[in-house]
Amino acid sequence: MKENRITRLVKQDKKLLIAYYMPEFPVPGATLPVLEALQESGADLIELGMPYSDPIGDGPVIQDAAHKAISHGVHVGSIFEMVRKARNGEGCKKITTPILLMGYSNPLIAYGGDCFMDDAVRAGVDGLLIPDLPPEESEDFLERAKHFGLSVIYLISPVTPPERIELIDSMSTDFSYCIAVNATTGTGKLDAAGMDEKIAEYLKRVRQHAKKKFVVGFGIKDRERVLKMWELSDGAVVGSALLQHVATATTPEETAAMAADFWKSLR
Amino acid sequence: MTQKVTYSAPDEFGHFGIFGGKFIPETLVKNAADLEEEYLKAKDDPEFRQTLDNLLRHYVGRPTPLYHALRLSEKQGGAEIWLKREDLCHTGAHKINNALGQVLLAKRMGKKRIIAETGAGQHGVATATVCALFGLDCIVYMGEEDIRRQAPNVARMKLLGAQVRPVSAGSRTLKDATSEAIRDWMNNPEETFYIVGSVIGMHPYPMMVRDFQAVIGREARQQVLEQAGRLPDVVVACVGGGSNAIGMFYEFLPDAKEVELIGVEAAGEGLDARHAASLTKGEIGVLHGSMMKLLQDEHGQVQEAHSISAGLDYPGVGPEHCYLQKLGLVSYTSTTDREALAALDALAKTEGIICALESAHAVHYAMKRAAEMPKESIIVVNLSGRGDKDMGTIMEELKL
Repeated sequence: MKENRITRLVKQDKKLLIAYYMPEFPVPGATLPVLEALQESGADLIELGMPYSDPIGDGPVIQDAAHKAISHGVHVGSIFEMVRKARNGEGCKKITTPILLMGYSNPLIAYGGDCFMDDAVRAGVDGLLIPDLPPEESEDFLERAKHFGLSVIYLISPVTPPERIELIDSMSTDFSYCIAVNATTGTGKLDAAGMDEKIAEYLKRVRQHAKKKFVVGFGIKDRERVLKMWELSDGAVVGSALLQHVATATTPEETAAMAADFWKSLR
Repeated sequence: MTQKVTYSAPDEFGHFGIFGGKFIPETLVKNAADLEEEYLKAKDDPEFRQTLDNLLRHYVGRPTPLYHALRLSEKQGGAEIWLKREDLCHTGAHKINNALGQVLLAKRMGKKRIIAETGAGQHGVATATVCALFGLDCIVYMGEEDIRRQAPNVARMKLLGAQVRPVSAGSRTLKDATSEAIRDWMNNPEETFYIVGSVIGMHPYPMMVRDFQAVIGREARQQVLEQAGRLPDVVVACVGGGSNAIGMFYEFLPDAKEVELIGVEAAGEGLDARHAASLTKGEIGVLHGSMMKLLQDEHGQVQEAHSISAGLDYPGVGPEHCYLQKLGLVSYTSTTDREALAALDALAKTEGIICALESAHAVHYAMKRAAEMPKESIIVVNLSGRGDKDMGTIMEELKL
């Protein structure tokens, strides 16, 4: 596979801090300023959500953000356009941070498989994470993505058996994404008693069976959690907490300022 | 003798041609795999079969009759219309056939907490019923809009000891209730059994629900041979998610060269207005873990379906129906809200049977076809449920 910003990033010897952001949340026009704010305050990789009307893996925060994004006119094509502008520095500083698109398969199917890959690469997207496209359903998808030089990241969950961790690790092009707890996004489950031991044991199991790097997300909300995940894995993903933090913003500028404040508090 | 059709689906990955499959987040992969493994074992276990058969017979009241609707047939002046009386099942619809099968599976797997989604409330009532029967905790997700439309069923579920959780997301109907039930399953994967009510969702649900509902067609085929002395010319069933239809059609699929199989979708206010006709007007997509034909906009956002009957109000449709349509083994058509109401009224007046608004869609098609066919022809209609739950809507619409 050709090199891209993600393949270069994972070669570095550093723990990753990854942001998940839903475009145009909470106000139209917020995307480019937020991308700039996240880059400037030290996000190593940005996952950009592709909103879908029926996100079965998401809790209320990302569901709400997806519905807002859709009502603000966000769709696959408009996300490509935003990424293209970000890469060219139109409307914000030039964004050089790796960008991973994360979203459900239906909008991608509706856009059209091969066009999707081609247009994503042209826009400056580096990789894809499609939560409802597990290994069993994605052989063709993975081959096509690799052909276009796009990274593909697969999910591992606490109930994934060891031999399947090995399969997922072998399919993920650069790193795998471990779902921290058996839950939808943004639940408070990580705070439950006895969770620290459970998650340590789980990530130790992943380390034993994965050759590539892996990061952890779902329910990571503050610096304490980020540091904990850095001890146990190669990176932490923060999504719902970021969206919650900027949810009350009324202008793009305010959204960007709030995103920057929050992101600095994590580093 | 007419050639029999060989049909075998899904494949081992749950694919019906390009449809079906397991488009699910990793957290659900193990749940789905465990369920499939247990179901395949149970299916071939004589003890499991016998327990289920006994309950279907003595608790549900199977076999349900196949009834020759003489006055309705006479009114149309053509083919004989026969009704497969699933409305006479305990709880008033075919949904109990599947709920019973799945609750026995839940017991086998040692799961104590049962969740379900419901649209019209028939599946919710069926699930609440079998949970009461086996003393299991029951949580039913139901859209706020459906709770409003189907108040009597909400009360029934509560009376049966179930907790009804209102879903306020999206269109507040079956689609959103299903998403919420799937999320619950993700959040509680170990102790929870999810009883899906239709032939939708990720593998193995479309296959398993079909197998539990196939009793409808198995009985109907035997009954029509016994009572009329031959196979019917046409078999009709309504299609929302499609469980009563697949249950009716499955055993007739080998006969598909001589028996015309017709699925009737909800055309709502008309195919150019708000409707729920996914097979007629939908595009290929993924919803609730399965590839299917789906009502969606150009950007792949799922659109709200509309039908006067809450049970047909689903923007997708079972993957096997998409496959059967593609193979040409079943033809799909649609009936509007108005036409369904008129058929419901006619059936009540000629036969003394108040059917569900869902089933009325199939009745309408059968009446229309009967009028065009010679007297010796036979049409079998799956009368999937009774209409008590719809009395509110019926009173409003027919100004009673």
